[in-house]
Amino acid sequence: MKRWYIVIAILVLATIAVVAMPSIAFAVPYSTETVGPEGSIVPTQTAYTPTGKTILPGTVEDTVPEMDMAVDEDNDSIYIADPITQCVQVLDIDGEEKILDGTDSSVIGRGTLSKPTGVAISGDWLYVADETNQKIYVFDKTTGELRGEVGRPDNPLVGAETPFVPQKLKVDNRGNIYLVSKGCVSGLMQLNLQEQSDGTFTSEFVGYVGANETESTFQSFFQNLFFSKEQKELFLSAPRTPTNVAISSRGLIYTVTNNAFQNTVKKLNTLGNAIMSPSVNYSNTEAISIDEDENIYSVTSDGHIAVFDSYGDLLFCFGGEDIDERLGSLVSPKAISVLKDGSLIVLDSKYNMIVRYERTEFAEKVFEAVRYYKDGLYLEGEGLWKNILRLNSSFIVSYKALARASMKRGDYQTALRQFKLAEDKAGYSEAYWEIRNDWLQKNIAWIVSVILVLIALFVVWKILDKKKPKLLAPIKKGAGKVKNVKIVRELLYTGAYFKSTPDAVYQTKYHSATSVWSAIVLYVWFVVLQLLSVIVTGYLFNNNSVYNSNALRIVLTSTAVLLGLVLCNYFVSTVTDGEGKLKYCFISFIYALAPYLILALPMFVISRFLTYNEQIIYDVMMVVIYGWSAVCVFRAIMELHDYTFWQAIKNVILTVFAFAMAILFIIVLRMLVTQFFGYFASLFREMFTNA
Amino acid sequence: MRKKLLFLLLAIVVVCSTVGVAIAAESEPSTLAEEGGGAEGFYTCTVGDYELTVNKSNLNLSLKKGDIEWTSGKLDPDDAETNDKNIEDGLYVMYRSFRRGNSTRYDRPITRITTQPIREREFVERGDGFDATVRLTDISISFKVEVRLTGDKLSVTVPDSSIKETSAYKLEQIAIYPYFDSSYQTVEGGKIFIPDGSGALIDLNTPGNAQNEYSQRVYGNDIGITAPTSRANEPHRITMPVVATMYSDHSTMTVAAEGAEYANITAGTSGISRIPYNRTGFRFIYRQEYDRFLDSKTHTNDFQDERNHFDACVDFNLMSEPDVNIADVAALYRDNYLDLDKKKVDNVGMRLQFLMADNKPSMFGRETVNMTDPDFVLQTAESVSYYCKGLTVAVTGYQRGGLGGSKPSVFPMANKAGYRNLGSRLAMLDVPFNFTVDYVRAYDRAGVSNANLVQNISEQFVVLNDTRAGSTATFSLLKPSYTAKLLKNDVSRLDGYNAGLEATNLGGLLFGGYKTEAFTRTDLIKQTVELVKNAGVSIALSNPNSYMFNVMDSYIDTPIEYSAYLIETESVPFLQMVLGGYVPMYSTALNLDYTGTSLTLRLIDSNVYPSFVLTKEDAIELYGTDSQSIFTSSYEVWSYTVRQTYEDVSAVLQNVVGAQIIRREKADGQEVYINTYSNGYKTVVNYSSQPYVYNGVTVEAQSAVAVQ
Repeated sequence: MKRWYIVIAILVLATIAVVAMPSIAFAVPYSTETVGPEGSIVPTQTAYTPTGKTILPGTVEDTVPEMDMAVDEDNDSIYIADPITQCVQVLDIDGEEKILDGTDSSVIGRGTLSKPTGVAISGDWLYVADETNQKIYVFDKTTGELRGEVGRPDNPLVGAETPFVPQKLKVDNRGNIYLVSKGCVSGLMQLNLQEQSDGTFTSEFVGYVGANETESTFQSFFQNLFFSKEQKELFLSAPRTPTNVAISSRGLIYTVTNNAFQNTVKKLNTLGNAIMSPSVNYSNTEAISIDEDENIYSVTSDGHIAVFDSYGDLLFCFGGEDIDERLGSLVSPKAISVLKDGSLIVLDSKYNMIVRYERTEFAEKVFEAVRYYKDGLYLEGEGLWKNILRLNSSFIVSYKALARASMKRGDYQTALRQFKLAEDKAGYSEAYWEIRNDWLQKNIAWIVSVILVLIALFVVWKILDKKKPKLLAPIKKGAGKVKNVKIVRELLYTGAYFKSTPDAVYQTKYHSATSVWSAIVLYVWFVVLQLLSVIVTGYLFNNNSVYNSNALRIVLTSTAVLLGLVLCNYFVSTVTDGEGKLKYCFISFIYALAPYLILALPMFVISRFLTYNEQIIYDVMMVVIYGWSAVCVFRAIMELHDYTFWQAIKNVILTVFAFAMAILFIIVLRMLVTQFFGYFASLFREMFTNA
Repeated sequence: MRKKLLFLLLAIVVVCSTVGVAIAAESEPSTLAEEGGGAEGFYTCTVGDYELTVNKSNLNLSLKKGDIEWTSGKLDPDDAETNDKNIEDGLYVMYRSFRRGNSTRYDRPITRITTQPIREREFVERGDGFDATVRLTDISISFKVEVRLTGDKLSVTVPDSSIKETSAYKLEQIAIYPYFDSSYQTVEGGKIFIPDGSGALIDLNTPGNAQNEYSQRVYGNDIGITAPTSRANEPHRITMPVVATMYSDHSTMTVAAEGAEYANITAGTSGISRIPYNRTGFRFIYRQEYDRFLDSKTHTNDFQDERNHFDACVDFNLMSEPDVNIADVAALYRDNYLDLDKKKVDNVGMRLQFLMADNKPSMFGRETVNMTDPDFVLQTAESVSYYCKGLTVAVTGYQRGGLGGSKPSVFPMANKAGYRNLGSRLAMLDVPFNFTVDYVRAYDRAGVSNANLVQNISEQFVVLNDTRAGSTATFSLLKPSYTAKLLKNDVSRLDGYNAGLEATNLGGLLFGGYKTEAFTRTDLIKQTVELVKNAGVSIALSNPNSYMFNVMDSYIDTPIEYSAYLIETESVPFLQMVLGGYVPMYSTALNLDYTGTSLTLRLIDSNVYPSFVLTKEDAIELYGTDSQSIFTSSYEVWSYTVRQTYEDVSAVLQNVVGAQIIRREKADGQEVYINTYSNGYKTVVNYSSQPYVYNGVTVEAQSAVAVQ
């Protein structure tokens, strides 16, 4: 080194913390998302950054070839099945062309392969699926020498009509090939391949695994309902064919069915049954890869990469369709591989390149924490999860894990809050049970005392009422005065609807036991109950969030439904010999809901003290309340319109139908009015523009 | 009788001639059909050390200085594939033909439109250049080109007043010398610079596999004409109208000196669009296609009727020195095109922005979510200013009801007394204090009158979606007159707050407005510059366009990398080379994309100061608000990282405060960058996983040092 350098070189100051990050992270052309509160998809810290690309030999074509990729890290090799160049290209892990042993070539199968679309590595062999030749080829993965080929199995179990068009494949450690055969609706073909002493291979058809079920759609539901047998046969739908396959290091098979409405990715057990599907279904999943912790990495045809943990919970989703030609965005991804260091490589067949993504520090923390969680080491992973929350307060999986750690520590109050944030109601119930149990144990003495005091007061009241009626007379007189206020009396008449609805309706019709005003009060109470059901009902039994509920919408909807049903019932009854007047329909309908009006609020309150262990109590009570109310309404209709049982049934059906038609009419009317004004608006605009 | 007949005959002749002339004018105006031979041969003039030679038939030109030659539309002798005509002409015209009722677009070099577009007598030699009138008689379009060589600069201008056209053909774009200083196939040491984000280089020796040319509108798309996009992580907007081609023996910096607001930057490497030349340049947009809405949903495709009026001028700055560094290009651009005043920068800065409140839907209307209070901001500033002498504090969401749906102004404020106190206390600490405000967009919930909103060319109100994840908010664009009114009103009421403003979108979002109070992009530039210049208060701007550089007080949301297009090979801090040392530059909020050490290194490499968005409460409280994309912000959580990041950045950058980057180098084969500053210091940033020894100093992996 030159002397002057030494003289003037002054090392200044900072040396920043050392973190393993082998290359510069490029600008990230996508946002990363995860599951947030209420199952929503929320943004999070960048989990993977694109760090480089490798352009493959050959030219970019206008078409999008069905390529595939297999990575063999131990052999420092990436194998790419390329139907355009009709061979398998071999690269090293850094993306440089790799010359095969004993040759000067970096391609395999030239002259043998016609349309290689699938490639897999197992042991010393490279397996290639060729769609055109309808064969599976076996090559030596280091020399590229052809070692064998497998054609259509002659086993009768395969089925004469079953197509054998090898498209994608994976091979396990025991030589079992799991083959995606194009158009084969029975699932993956499982073939057992054995090397013979003479170096050749024999194959045996083992069976099918991972068949999909026929999907039930709204359309198919109606077809099944109304079509004749012959018509049904015309529209017979077959299960979808799996489109890709992956094997984990533990030998578990995963299937991908692109464009499936549900269960696009399935994890199969040894019997071939689906034991897990990811929590978020990306129906356009193209390919998946599984790491050693059974985390699932999937890539969709529109360029999204989604990462799920082994339970199928979404950890990250990033990427998206590339419309700007930016590194990290994908156009037509066909394969994804996760490397041992957690980085990803994705094959994009449109650009004829592979793109590399590296984990950020944030993602490293998440994966490490997930590992602890999966192993049940909640307390050990607690620190990591807290760190993750520091980087994203909305990372819901963290709350779930932290809640488990809090439970293990016996900090149930904290666990309760964390389970709530994690939207884990089962966990919340467990924590709440512990808290309630603890509270009951501490407060059982005074609870019993209060109950005894109340019983004693009741007994004393009864005794006094019998022995010293004068003593209680002023209280009773006061109560009687209140009861005699017209509106109070009419409101209290709801009790009569409880006991005998027909009699109560009769009294309403002929003796004015109730009035429109008292009915209006009850209508208002009904609407208030709708609001209270959101506000008061306990978290475990409440399907509505206060923040997602709009009071005005609730008020308008419930009022419109109630009044709509009353009006429809009245109009239907006028054409079906009903006797009830609109006024009595209006009054009786709400009074008949007495069980709901009286018992709902107590149940909302009670639900706050219940856990899932007592769910049966809540469910039974709610069924009783709704059922009883329905019976009361039905009986009220019978009495009001002087219907027989079957006439009342018919009336109810017609009322519901009329109500549905009214809604439909309003929707159509709204559309027509909008289009009417829209048409004239555009007409005038066009006239003025062209004038 | 005979007289009557003669008169009738004369009348018929006059009418027929008039109609005939009119028809002829429609197809080919007489002014364009003047007699005269096409210009041929070459014209050469010498200015200083340069010899300019132009082919008069197609305006292809070359410049020579000693052994160095710059050409427009250079043809390589080895290139047998490319049609000469496709890349030889000096100008390229995109136009629309409306003949036979169809609208068809053509994009051609001038000699492909008309065989002899230049008349001999309309080619005027000027001694320091030439004037030429381009008459595209086949499409009835003509315009004048003025070429002047001054010093090391070749200026090419197409004056707006010279453009003539008829209704049958409409001018859409003109590309001015798009192949100037282009190069054939791969070039060792060759680079193209484009101002994407902080700046990007395209290595001409290792072309990428991009399939399309890079093409971006300078200062962003005009959302008064085209619909705004609402994607997350959009590519960076072009904020500077400058590109460059750099070779081992010479370079060229090309600047859209006039009409930049209507310019489009294009860049392509050999092979893209089947052209084997590496090129970059400007196209000027005179008209655009747009969706004309018939009602709120249905629309039809239409074409701008009124031409954009501007003088298009491109300066080719010739750099004859070998191995020109990107920092040299930045310095040339700054010195020749930006009239910058140095702002006072004494210390390495850090910007803390506090979100005070937002709101979310609840059962009964909207519920305010209070995230931070002024006292907490003060406490935090006091503790941070202990170690950070260059602290700047900003607050957002301070309006009544919080950020979401707030009026596009500082007032009404939720806690006037609190912020007055905060301002005065921060002033005592010598910590600048700003209110963040958006004077360009208004929340639709804010209830701004339609009379103050911009309408697009289709006479619809421009609606922009909030691109922040999870937000359902929409915005409308405010008319410049209303923007000015709001800002002036706020400034007049800010007395006593000791505060300045951080204006987001002002000077960044550039658009034209139509119908009432119509204005052009050019008008908006002038008005915005005047507004900020005369505001009478300190104004920081968020990622502004270059025309705001000399009127702003600080630069926030500075891009520190490029957009990573496949065509690009390297991110360079060109923007920071231009502005570094002149105005303080702060990054976007780091806590929302915190990638750790690599991020800190990027800040040091770019000479940009850190910025964080913080709250007192945990960010989970923001769930359900429009700000829920702020998923981590609690100061309690970030206090350590805030300090650590600042100290890491400060340790290196404190040596170069107020200095400019004058050279940038990359260590051979390693991810190590060395920036040389004007005060003699060098920053060495080692992104790699291996230690790097620079002049005897070991720079550990993933670390940075400053050496003198």
